[in-house]
Amino acid sequence: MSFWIVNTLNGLSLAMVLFVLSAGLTLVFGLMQIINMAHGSFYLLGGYIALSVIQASGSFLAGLVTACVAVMLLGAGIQRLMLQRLHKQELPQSLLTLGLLFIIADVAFWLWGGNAQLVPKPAVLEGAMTILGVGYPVYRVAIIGMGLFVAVLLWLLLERTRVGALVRAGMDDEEMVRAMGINIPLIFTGMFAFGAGLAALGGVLGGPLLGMFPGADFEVALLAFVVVTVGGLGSVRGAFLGSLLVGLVDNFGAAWFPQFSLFTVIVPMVIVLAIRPTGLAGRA
Amino acid sequence: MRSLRSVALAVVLTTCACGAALAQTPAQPPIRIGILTELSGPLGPSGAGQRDGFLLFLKKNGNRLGGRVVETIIEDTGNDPQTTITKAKKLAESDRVDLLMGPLSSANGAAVRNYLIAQKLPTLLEATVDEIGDGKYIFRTSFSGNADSYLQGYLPGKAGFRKAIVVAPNFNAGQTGADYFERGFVAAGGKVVQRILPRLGTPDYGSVVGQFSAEADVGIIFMAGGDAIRFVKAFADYGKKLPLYGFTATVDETLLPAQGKAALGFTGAGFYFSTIDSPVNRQFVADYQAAYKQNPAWFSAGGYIAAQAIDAALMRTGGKVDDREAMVTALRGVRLVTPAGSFAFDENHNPIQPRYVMQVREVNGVIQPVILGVIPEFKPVAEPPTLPAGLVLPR
Repeated sequence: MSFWIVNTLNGLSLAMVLFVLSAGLTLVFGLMQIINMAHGSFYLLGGYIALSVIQASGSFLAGLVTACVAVMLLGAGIQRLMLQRLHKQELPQSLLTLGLLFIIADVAFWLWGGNAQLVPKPAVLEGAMTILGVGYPVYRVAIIGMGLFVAVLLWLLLERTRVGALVRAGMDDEEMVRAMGINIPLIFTGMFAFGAGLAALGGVLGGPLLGMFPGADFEVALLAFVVVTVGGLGSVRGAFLGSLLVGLVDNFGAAWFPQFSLFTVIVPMVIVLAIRPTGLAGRA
Repeated sequence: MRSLRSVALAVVLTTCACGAALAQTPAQPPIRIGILTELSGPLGPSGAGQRDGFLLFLKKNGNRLGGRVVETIIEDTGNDPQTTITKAKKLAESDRVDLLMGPLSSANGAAVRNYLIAQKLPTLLEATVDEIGDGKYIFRTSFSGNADSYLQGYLPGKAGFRKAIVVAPNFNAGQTGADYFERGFVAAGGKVVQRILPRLGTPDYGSVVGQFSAEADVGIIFMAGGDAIRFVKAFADYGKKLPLYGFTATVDETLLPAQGKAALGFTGAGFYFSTIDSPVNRQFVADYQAAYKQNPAWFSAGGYIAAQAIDAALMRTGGKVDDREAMVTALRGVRLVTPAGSFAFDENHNPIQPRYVMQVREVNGVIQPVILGVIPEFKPVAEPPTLPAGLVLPR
């Protein structure tokens, strides 16, 4: 019984980190058709910036806010100065972000070095608690809570606000939104920055769990792409379902067949795509 | 540093039959030494330490080994076996290096060994899987995996533990590590009740720790790099009380700052720790600290020893590297005093050097490996070792 409780909770906590990370990826794709290869880099930068700020100030919250704001500004700059020039050119856009992935990885290596580091947890979330008679880390429970909170917030933002309505309209028919006199380039920049900020948040939340090290950007980006593909490109609901699937499968896979752990993530993706080529919640 | 040089020189002189070997001819071209190891990827920091240890000795020695000026050509394996072979071919055939310091990763070492042997290129590497050695052209300046894993499994058995969980990453070094942990533990009277081989690069070790059997009384762990940090932290997060033994790279000194208190209590044995109390090592640590602003770990010592061994061998050949057979013979005969203690190669070209039994403890607020005992001349064979008298293994 404890096996099921622990692995389910583990799966959920990994799923929530993946959700926060891949929500940004899927929104940016849905609105702008940009496959952002550098999304993992925003995760890495978020984690590293938080690490430095927490070490300097001792406050997790300060690290979290600084990291998200800094990466959002970077994202806005990248969109405004580079990607906007390549509007609607999907391949050049992807290649540009791929180049950014390598540059940011090298800059991060230069600034933070090659040794793996863990983002410190907030002191109140250290240690273990008892859930249904099983000892379980408090921080992971907090991550599950944070992930659900972000999910609700995103849903409210997209479904219940004017900005959300504009974004959804932009996803469906960009030309029409433009013709109605809406400043769509501003929405694009804002959404790209928002997506980058979500990736940074993923880095801060996942940092104490998964660690920051050269190559972490590739590792999480791979999982995020699986999540987004399984869930359906452009759908936040899909990213949520995909994250749950990948997080749980990865954990039970690692528990039952540790030697095949990457295989156990890819196989469900293949099966989902074979049955529903648009993903779990994707639109045709 | 002067003391280290004079000690090394004295050792070389006493073992070197021909004094004339020290004669130098000034107009010789530099010796070309290739450095091919992991400079990126999960083992990047470790491979960089190996390179830095080598370069530190070279710098201290006025950029000369055995009296000859040295030119180094540094290449990164990218932690990819195919790239390793390509880079080895470049170094051997295009750069025409005379000697090679080879990879730290056993996966890459295994990939490139046949090529190096065919090229008859004298190579000093750190990759630990025994089968990589050939007893001819390939020398190891770290340790042989089988014997060390055996010892690391033997220790918890001797400490009185009876039921072990073995955890190791699923690649050649990890698999053989798990096998020899088990042999050592069984030889000391224990039984392995659970064996987990996760993928190297597993993002979240929660699922590994979460399935630990409640029956076990000790964990024997083989981890390295970023995986080691994630594993040790995950283990502490779950509030597990299981004592941990195992491969000391799991808690090496580049990782301890990130692991912090989570690493406390880990016990194992290895050939090098920065806390070894000897004049040679104190000097080495001070020099390394001055040059690279961190403590040397075992892979740094291995790189330093490789440079020392080449230096001593070149003294014996009179600075000649063209005759590869003579170079190999000279390397085989070196006797060194290194930061890790006395050093010689056995017939398989594995090092015979001390093993230090250690536990991670907090001393004066610094989390560090504390040495509990020394096995003075550890032979690299997987059989029950003679443990130091009076050694108290933590329970």
